[in-house]
Amino acid sequence: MPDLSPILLSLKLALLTSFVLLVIGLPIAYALSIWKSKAKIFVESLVSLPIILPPTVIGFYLLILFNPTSPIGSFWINITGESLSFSFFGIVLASVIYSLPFMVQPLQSAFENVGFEIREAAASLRASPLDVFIKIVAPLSKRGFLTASILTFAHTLGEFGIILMVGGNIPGRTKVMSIAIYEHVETLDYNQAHILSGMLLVFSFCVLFLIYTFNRRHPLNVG
Amino acid sequence: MSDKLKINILKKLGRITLNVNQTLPSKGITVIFGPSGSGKTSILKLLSGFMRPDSGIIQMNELWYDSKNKVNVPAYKRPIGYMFQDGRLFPHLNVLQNLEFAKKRASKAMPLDEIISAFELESLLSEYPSVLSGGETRRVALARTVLSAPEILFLDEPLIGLDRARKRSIIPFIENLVKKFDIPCIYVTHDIEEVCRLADHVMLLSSGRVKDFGSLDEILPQLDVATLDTDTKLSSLFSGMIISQDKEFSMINVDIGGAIIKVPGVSRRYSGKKIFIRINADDISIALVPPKKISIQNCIEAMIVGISVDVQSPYALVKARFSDLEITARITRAGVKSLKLTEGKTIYMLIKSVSFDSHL
Repeated sequence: MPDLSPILLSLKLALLTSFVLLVIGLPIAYALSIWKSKAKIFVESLVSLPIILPPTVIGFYLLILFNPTSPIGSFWINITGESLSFSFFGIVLASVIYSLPFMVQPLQSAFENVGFEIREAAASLRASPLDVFIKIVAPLSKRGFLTASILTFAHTLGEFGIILMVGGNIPGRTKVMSIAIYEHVETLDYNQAHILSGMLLVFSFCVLFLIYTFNRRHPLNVG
Repeated sequence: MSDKLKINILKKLGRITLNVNQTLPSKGITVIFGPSGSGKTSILKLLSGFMRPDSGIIQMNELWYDSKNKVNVPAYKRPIGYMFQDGRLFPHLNVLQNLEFAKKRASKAMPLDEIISAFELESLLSEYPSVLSGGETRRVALARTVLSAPEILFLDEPLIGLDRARKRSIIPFIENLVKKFDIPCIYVTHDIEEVCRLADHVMLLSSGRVKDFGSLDEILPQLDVATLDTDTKLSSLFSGMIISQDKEFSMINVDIGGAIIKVPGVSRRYSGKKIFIRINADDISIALVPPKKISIQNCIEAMIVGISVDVQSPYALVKARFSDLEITARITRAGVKSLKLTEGKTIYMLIKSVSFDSHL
């Protein structure tokens, strides 16, 4: 029987990260989809950084930011009494930054696919920008929301480097599935490593299979 | 009652600069006519707030835009309706939901059932836009725009891409907008048939500038080859009067400037009614003596006032005058040479076919 705690912790982390990113990523993605200024490229590059940056680099900078002597780290200790580094909230924050592009990019392209033409038509019928988003853009971007949420969830589930650096390996707090696998391999407990790795492998395949099936069945944002 | 629409705007658009200073009437249909790239659609975008002028003023009752006082009312707060080229129905809503979207946000209650029946949409209400034909899409889009209770309606080439028969079936619905719902329209097109059929006033636009503005009658003589787009055939336009009908052969006799033209067709209009005649430059042949024993019904005696020859092409344009009207024919350069055509020469123009656009 495998230790369930890393599995539950991973699920909790992935769910929370997806939810937080939906709230933060949505306005960023919408702004990027309608933004025409040159600053757009700057923000787009910034948002996409975590895709190519080594997790250790992000982890290193976050570790410095989370340090109790830094402004952010000391602020967190003042209001919660706990350190940000090596805490569950610390790895949530790290995951939010690390998975940001996986939420923003699919949403942005879904919003862009709706097109300014349809938004103009809605505005000409006296729909305010918020009204246009809720009644026209969001329903036409259903697929984008689904893809973005699933990708974010799955990507967070597979995180390793950043969590190891920012969170360490504390059972029940920061020891998620990928860290547990690493530890099992280090201690030559291949049985346990097989179980957890197999679960992640099957899960990841199913997620991608679902996304591709869904995209094929609903090629257009119609009806 | 809505006020006139005052426009005084400047906007740089790539190669041309749009510079329009014009007050548009608050009744009937004002057509903005001009070749592609003259800035027609951009005017509508600027008026509706989808594009921002570099400077100037736009005003209808209230100020919509004023660069000096930094007023720029966003599109969704302007009391406009906008009918786009492709209809732009919301693809995730069915026809009825598309209509209700507009009705819910209208500044005053509009009669949904009356509008559905006016645009003959009863059988389409539960359909989604992806299954509608081009003509049906335009009708739904028109109805949707009317339901938003606009004080002025902008129509951007609303019939583009439809075949002639479809176009003719949609035009009465547009006429209805003005007659039944009393909404003034600004109508952008480069189709001469739509101008003749629908316009009360015409604004001629060329490279971003207003070349002329006036009633259709005043502008008509200027709608000649020079202003036409390449995809509109070269043609001469005349306003004429029906003088009699030949019911046996289904022909109408029309007086244009003293010359009588026989036009095939039956008109429901009475004698004495005005009618617009269009003669394509390619449908005219030229003879030096009045021909006899020929099937062509219309022959006009005229005097050549100009010949323009393009050595790159096999054709030449011959402009001739009869009464005080001008007509343009396109014949081959070889024809010009063999008949020895020159300015001042009297010719007989044989007109192979004539079309007419009635204006209600």
